[in-house]
Amino acid sequence: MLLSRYHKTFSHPEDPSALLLFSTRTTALVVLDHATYAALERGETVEGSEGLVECGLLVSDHGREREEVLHYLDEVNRLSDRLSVAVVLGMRCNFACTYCYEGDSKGAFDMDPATAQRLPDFLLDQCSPGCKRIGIDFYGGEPLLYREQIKTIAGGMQELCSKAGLTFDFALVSNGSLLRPELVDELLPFGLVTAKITLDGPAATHDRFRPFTNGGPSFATVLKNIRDCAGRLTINVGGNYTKESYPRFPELLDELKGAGLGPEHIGRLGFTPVIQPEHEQLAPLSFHGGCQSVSEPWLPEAAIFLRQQLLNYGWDPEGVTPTPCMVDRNNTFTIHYDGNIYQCPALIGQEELVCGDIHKGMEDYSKQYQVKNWQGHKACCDCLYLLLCFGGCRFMKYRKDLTMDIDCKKDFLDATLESFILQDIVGAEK
Amino acid sequence: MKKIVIVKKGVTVKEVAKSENCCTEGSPGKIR
Repeated sequence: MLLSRYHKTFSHPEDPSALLLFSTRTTALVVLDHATYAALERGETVEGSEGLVECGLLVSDHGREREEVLHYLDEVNRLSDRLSVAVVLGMRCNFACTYCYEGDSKGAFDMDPATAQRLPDFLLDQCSPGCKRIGIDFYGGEPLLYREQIKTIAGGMQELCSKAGLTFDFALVSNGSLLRPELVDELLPFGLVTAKITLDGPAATHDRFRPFTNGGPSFATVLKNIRDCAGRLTINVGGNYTKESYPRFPELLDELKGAGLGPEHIGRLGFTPVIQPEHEQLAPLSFHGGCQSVSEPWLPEAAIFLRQQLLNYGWDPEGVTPTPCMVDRNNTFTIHYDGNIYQCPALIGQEELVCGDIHKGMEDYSKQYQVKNWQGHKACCDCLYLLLCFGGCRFMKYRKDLTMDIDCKKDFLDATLESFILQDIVGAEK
Repeated sequence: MKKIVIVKKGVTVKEVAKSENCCTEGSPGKIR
């Protein structure tokens, strides 16, 4: 057997005789001594190495391994048994977030009843033969301003899925201000399982970035709602940070702790950078300070810092893992309130990115979205990080220069991967 | 010390196929 080409080695933080061996293909992590690593590099059989095959760190053939990596997304699509759809119910929102990617496209634009009625039939038609589950993420605006439409669509889905032998559930991608226990109880019978809510740092920071439309602070309302609803459904909390705001995020962790909210109450807590809409043809915002590219020099420090803080406060931060873009996944797409189809919820409203509608059906979007955009770059095909990047975020690239080309994550991963892995080994700082 | 200690087995393509989408409210993106 041969040592996988998709690996990185790092010094062990506590044991100079040991090495950390990390698979950039499976994200497996192994500790071994230098002599064992050298033997594996020479292709020698080493006692106890059987487990490395299962981890993807020992392979029979480098050429076949490369082919498997290059066709990884085909396999992801083949094995997927879930149709996962983002549904934008309308553009009304009771928040005025300074950096919102929907910008001034928000307003009194709602999904009409005919579209909501048609949607379940359309989604069932989109199921591939192996599909066993359908999941909807309800977006807005603020989706909880559209509770009757949620019930219409989810109720229709439940009926159709039950007849077809499929399971159905849905999540709310909500600002959390309207998430009250009685509303959750009303929606649970329709298949509600998860709410994804945003807190952009401690109260002072959050309220600056995410005020109500009247300018009032929202942090206390959202925090109370999370506390009151935890236990009824899974609540995942995300936070968007900027270069200036991220150092204060530990105060959010204090505030959650003070509110009695820990990992046992919240499904997942994680932070991502605000993306800056920069191209002049896109809706201009007065907001500045977001991230234009994954290569921005301040990002690694911020990402490492925030991940360490999560560990210090007893949270389990998301690990490094292959995360394919929605664009490259066959069974995921977005339906806008007007019935138009897009391949990413962040790209709604861009006319050139409409790829069908729920009446005419899905059109071929492979060129429009540059599906598998990395295939045209030899450096990507040869890159050890391909499965951790997949060409980066389409949305970020589009916001910057209106193309769907790659936003290479190599510099970011070079600058962060070792730290992330060491964090997983060492855990909280003493 | 054992010569090889597996700390984390990693993820299979099947697990990735069942994983969630990348986008979250407000400011989607794939940077963790």
